[in-house]
Amino acid sequence: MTGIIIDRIGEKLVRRLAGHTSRRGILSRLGLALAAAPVFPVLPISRANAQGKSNTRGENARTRFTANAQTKDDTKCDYWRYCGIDGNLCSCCGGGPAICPPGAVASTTSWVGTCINPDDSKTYLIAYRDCCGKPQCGQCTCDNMDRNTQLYVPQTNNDIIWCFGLDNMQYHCSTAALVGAVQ
Amino acid sequence: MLTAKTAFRVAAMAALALTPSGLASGQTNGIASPLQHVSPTGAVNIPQAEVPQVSNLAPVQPHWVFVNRGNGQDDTGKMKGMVNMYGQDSFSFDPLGKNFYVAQTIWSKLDRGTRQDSLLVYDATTLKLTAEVPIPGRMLIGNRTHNLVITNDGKKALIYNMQPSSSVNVVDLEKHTFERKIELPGCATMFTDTVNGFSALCSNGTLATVAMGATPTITRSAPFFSGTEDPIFDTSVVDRKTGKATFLSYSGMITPVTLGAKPVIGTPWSLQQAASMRKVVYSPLDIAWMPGGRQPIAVHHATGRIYVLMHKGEYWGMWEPAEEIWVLDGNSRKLIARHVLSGELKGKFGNIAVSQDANLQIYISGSGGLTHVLDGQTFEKKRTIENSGGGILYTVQP
Repeated sequence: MTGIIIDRIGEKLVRRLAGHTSRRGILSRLGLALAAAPVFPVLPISRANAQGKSNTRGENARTRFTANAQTKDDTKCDYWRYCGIDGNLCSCCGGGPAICPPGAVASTTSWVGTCINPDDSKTYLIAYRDCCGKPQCGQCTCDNMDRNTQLYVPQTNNDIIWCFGLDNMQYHCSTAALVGAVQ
Repeated sequence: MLTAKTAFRVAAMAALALTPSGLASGQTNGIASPLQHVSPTGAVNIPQAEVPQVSNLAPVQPHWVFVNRGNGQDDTGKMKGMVNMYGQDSFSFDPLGKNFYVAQTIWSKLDRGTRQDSLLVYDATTLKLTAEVPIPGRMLIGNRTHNLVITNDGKKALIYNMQPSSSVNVVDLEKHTFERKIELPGCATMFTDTVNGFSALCSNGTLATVAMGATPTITRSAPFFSGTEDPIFDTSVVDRKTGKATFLSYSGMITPVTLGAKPVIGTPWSLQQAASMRKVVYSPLDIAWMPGGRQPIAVHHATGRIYVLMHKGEYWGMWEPAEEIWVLDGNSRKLIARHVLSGELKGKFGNIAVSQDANLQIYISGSGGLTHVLDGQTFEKKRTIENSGGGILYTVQP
């Protein structure tokens, strides 16, 4: 089952990539994907699978953020999807948790996080996409830490301006798009 | 709250002299006391009209601290000047002491138009821009200490780039020209070595070492850490003169590495074990003393003493502000002291630096734009500098 979902996620990402990038852009992103390859096997998702303890996956991934996360208000830093976000919440800037504000441009690249929804205790893959091309929003500044790595593991680093491939890399705000359930 | 990402709108790197001192060379205060114009005979001298003047910066002193993200002064810690920077720019000292270097990105129409990436060279005395070298891109990120580094001989600037593939742009500092791009897949965070090359941390837990030359060559070490399970902070420290790097991981493991053509990776040790505690297993729901902050480690190179910002926390709490400063002997791998940050100092600071002279000072910065100066022996707070910016701290290595 996990494999099917991951396949769907992969298809979605590839379709999105193909629809928004040039060949040159795809090449550069492939470079990132290759660099990312050694990392994904050790994300909490695969760790739990490797241990054959899918029923305890949520517990294994639990963090202080997860213990205090809420599911009602996406303009607050403790909204469950924001476990790995950094920056200004687009929900506070005229957009939504997965929607850029008017006039901004959605990045086609993202860093990723794995967050637990406290309502169902399931783990979800989140794509954090920056909205770009406008001055910084400045509202609702958050800096959450779950599974945040350093620069040399960029795909889970939330300090980077993830506006790659756009004409204007000015950072405006950050979204947290639900990609899919992990289990 | 400022994060590395939201630092874009705030700018500047301020040099703060943290000991009350006289004016820098060539500097005037601009206002003469009326008493100075009265001669002993009672005759009044007519003050001469003052003409516009610009001061110069004195040579950088060990007790000067450069604070990213702001400028400021207070009654006792005097601001000496400001290096022009924006929040996503990178800063580096010149090993030769002649310049300050800034890797900068701007757009031709403020927030739109043509992107322009460049290395800026500022004279260390006049703070005037003396050269501007266009480069083909750089990573946009704030508050990092190893994205712009200068080779030990002062001849090359290395600027980390990510578009989003990883590379390093090399600038010839003698010719003031862009020299080459070095592809560095899977690696970032550059530490210069003593042979005018550099090493970088990699996502697969290895160290990539680049030997500069007509054709740069890259060699990789065996894996010695996990970039995802227990990452090494990318604000870890290297002694430029000896090439001795001190790498600190999220869980509190310290790995000494001697950089060079063939880096020697030492045995990692636990700073908690050095404090007679159990070694931390970086896993969920395990509460222990952990390092934390954007810049959680400083090293006094002459003595090998390591200063680490510590908090009682858990898994993925690596930015948590400090409750204590731990002092460890990097040579004996023993804890020397734990200093509790109490009162106004508790739980607010995530950056630490130390001066490199014998009369050691400790600098901590963080929320509220504050920078505090602590006595290196007693840890007594000597002064607070308000509006100094809350960012990464730099002290010069003489």
